Amino acid sequence: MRLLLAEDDRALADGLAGVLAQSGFTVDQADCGLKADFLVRTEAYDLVILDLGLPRRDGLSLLRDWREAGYHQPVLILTARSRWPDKAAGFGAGADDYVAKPFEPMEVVMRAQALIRRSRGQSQPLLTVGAITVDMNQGRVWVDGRPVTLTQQEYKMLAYLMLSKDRVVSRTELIEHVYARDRDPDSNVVDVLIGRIRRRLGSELIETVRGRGFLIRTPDAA
Amino acid sequence: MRLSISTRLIGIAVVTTLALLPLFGYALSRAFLASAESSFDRQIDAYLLFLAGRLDSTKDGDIVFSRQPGDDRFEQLHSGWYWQVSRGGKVQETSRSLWDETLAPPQASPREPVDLRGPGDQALRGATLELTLGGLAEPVNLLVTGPRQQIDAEVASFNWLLVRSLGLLGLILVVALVAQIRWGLAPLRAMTEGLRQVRSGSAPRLDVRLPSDLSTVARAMNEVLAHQEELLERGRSVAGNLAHALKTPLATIRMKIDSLDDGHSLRADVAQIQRIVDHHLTLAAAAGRASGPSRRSALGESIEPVLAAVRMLHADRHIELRAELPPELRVAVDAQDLQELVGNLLDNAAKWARTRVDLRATRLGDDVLLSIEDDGPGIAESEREQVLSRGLRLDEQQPGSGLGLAIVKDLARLYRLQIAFERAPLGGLGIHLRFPGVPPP
Repeated sequence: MRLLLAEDDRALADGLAGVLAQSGFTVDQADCGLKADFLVRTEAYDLVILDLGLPRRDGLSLLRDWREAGYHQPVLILTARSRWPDKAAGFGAGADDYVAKPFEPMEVVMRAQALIRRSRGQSQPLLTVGAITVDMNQGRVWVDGRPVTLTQQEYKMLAYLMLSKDRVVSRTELIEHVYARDRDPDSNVVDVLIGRIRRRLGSELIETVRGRGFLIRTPDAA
Repeated sequence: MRLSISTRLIGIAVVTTLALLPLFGYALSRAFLASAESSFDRQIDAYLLFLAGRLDSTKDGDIVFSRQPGDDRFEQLHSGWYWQVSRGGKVQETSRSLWDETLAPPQASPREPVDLRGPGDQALRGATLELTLGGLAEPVNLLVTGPRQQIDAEVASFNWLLVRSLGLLGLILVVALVAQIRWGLAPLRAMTEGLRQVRSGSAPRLDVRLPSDLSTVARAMNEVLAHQEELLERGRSVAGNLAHALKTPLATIRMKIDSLDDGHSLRADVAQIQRIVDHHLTLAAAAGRASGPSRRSALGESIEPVLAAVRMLHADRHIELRAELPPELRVAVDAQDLQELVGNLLDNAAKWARTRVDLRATRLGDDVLLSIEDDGPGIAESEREQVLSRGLRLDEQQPGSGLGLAIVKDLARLYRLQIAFERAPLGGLGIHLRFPGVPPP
């Protein structure tokens, strides 16, 4: 899952980015409103964590512009403005969640995970397809009730495919949602990672759709 | 005690009228008396000349009238109309009206009016004339009088008329003056009423459509009001900026604590700092509004966005949030403070609820009662009192900011709202907020 953290306070942004990365997120950072605007319009994020008091462009007006322009990624507002009129205004501008500073870092992680799930029409943290179960909150995977350990990149890719189940996901899309902006891996990396996942979870889970990408299909939808 | 301007003006007007009118009446009465006397005197003088022209003497020195005055009044007994002829201090002839009495001749210049007393101490006014008749060595003294009572009666009836008409005039003047002052001062009263409305929040500024002299005052007052609001706004924004500026570093600290071994006590410290910052932020934001010109808020319109926010914040928990907010209800609380108040209460209820939170506003006499109920575990009756006295710290165990109810307490105290707790019919906690009635705008 790839997210944009738009926060101008360096220390806070780095700290939070660290916590998010540990929880399986790929994090891009923007330290001003203009950069955040540019990144949202050019990159594919599963979530944006948006500070309202950004320099150069106010967060609330950014959010309004995005919604107007048809960008519908979930947005979590992370701000020092803790009063309810501000929260109401934030949701009014199109936010999906709101966390006031100072915050429990893990609360932001949980809320970020829940937002991404909800944006994919998935309300429960546990996703099951066939014999495979993924806990999107804990980042754990089971096969027939037996825990399986994946590397962080493997997990990110599996989680993205699970959330996008019954839909073909291209290699480019996978790279966009799993790798940070400054990394530009060879598309072979995707095939290598998919191969490793298949070896651990069984080859029938992820189908290859020739020329288009990969697909996780729920049995009843088949 | 300071007298009001209208009392002063009315006082001056009444005193002036009451002092001047009698003076004026007295002068008129004196003038009429003088005129009545002079007309009476001219009558006397005419009789005097008439009688003198008909007085004659016989050869043996007797005095005779060639013709008596034809006026009946000189025939009627004690009519006051008398004439008397005397010579050398001895009365020779009198009018029939004197009968057998005589008048003491007054010491007066000829043809000058003089007051004297007649039979039965009757007040008389008359004049004398001294003439020399042919054949008589001694001059003859002629006296003619009329009743003074005739003048007095005329003057009295004139005075009565005068008193009545001046009294009426005074009354009309006073009424007109009072009306004039009331009307003249009406704009002042309008301005006072305008100020009262500004104070109570039903008008933002004074209406300057007043007479030009007062409208200058009203404009100046509006400038003072604007200045005061600006100061409040500045103070509020300074406090707000400070609070916001503190929160980001606080968030950084909070994050670093997690990597420390001894994090727990520091976490409590950060929570304490956050509580203090939020407390002062709330007070700074609300204090000016609660004590200054208060604002009215439409309950439903203000709370609707907060309901949406609470639903979104608790989207994962699938809490059913029902709201019954009659659109016509209004409360005398600033809209933002109302949102803060209700937002915190709803958030708290949604945290504890199992499946459902009900928000209901009802009219209770003049007041508005806002009830928030949940189907959560509730609070034991014995602990409900502590909820308030301890500053509502019950929700600290829950994730989230956990300071919301302390803010509710601050705001309720600022706006003097009553808070009551009870066991909700749904099973959880029921909180009732009572807003004092809003006077009609």
